[in-house]
Amino acid sequence: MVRCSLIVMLLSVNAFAVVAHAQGPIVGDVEGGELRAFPLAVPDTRLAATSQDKKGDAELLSRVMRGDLEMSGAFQLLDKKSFIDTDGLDSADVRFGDWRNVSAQGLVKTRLTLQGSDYLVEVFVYEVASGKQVLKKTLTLPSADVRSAGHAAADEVFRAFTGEPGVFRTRIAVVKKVQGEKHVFTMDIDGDNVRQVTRGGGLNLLPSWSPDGRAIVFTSYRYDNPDLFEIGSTGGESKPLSRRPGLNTGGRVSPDGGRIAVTLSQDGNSELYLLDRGGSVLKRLTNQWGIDTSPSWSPDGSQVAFVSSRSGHPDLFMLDVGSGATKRLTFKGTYNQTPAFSPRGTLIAFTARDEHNVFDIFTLNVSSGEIKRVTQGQGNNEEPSFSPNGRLLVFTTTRNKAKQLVISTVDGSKQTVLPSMGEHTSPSWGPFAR
Amino acid sequence: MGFSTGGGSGPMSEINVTPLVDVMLVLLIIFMVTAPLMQQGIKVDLPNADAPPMKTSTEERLILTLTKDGKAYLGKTEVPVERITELLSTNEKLKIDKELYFHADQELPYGLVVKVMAAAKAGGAESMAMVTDPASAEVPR
Repeated sequence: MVRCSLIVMLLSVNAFAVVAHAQGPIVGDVEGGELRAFPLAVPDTRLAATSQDKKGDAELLSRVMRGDLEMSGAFQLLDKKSFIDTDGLDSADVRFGDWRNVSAQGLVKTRLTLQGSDYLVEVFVYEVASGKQVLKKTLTLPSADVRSAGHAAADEVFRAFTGEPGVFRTRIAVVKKVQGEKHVFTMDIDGDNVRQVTRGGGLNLLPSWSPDGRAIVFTSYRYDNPDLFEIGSTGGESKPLSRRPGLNTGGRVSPDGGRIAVTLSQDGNSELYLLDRGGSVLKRLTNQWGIDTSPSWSPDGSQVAFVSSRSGHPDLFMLDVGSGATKRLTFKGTYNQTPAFSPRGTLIAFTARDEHNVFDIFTLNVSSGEIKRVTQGQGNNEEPSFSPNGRLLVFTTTRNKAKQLVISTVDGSKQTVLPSMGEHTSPSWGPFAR
Repeated sequence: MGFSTGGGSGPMSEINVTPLVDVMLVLLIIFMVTAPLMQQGIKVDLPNADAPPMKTSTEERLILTLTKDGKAYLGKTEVPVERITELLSTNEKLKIDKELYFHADQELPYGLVVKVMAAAKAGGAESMAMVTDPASAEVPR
């Protein structure tokens, strides 16, 4: 009996188990990719009474906006099928209870009015929990280009919630294969609106934007040698910048727009040089037995990150342009290449080959040296380039066999493969639209 | 006597099960005694406090109301009955809360009630609270 009562006592102690109390999510503001995405309701664009026949355009506008905001990784776009959406657009007419009932924390309403050859896009942005109007703005945009109107409206919404400029009207330069040749193209960040920039000349590679977005510097084999050229970002005549013997590749215009860092092999070995915008050599930057290539400017223009084989295999290095002092950045792995400085100057995104012989995107924290992985287990991912607000990356992937472009948050939490057809290489994200 | 070694004075070849039965019986009795105790648990007197009852705002819950005249309300807004399945199966709040408060008039046809319940289940409502009321369901205010 003694044994019996002992066991009974032990069991009764268990009955005091503490009931865990789960805490509900706190309504917060939008912050980077580290926090939970902000649940956002973007119902279909309404049409003004005078423009009822523009249903297709209204649908396209809201579809472009939703795609942009979802791709940014900052928002969780709620399913529009769950919206009752029978309320009005102005503060007084919005039934916030309906939007709380789909767990929306942000609400974006839009209305389209045709006025002559323009569209008036009214954008209403609300914070649902407090019922506060965050933004009310009317954009006037040419009615022929509904997609850009959608991107412009998405930029407004992004700025209203994050306080930072959106990148939805920027363009990405990329190399695509066309009929045995390779050409530089530009496209919207959703992969739409693809335009060919270079024509003729066989292979045209490694595009890079000038900071004002007017020109693209690229390498072309049109004279049977990898020479450096410049072309207007909408096309036109190619202007030769450097046609020295050997390589003239990977030119990158400095953030002030005045200089070009480039790889030249005129001395028999690939070295970094600094050219002026006319193509004359200002300075030789490296002088090493190894190959030095792939320069990327820091946003203040004082440093250049580059790839060098001086350590025995490709590694990232940093060069102080003024003093010429060089620092090694990567010590792990055997193949680190294609560095891209973030516009905030805090991170360098690069391609590295991991232990399974797969190329993936990583970021390196410039001050702490901490390396974080962006992609894993989804084919080869290469050649990253930062969006001008530093929140997104574009890179190539082989996850669906053909080399496609991916727009990804810097931590890799949200990755969107762009639907553009064909083989894509060397994406370069353009500056903010002016 | 397959295991017998032959001699009558040889070692015993059968297991003595008496102690085994003893032990099993004791264990059986212990579990018989403790099992009802475990289910009963322990009565705890909670401290009394002069606080008002916890407010459970209707805003925080997803309430579907079906009135006598066959009109449906999600929250406070009327919705077409044919949209209920779509509205609920895509509703993010239902996916998070996993519960729907269902307030239906008692005179409603059984078929409609079942249809709505099926929609809520498809929408991920793991529990559906049937709001019972002697009076018929009213339009929420």
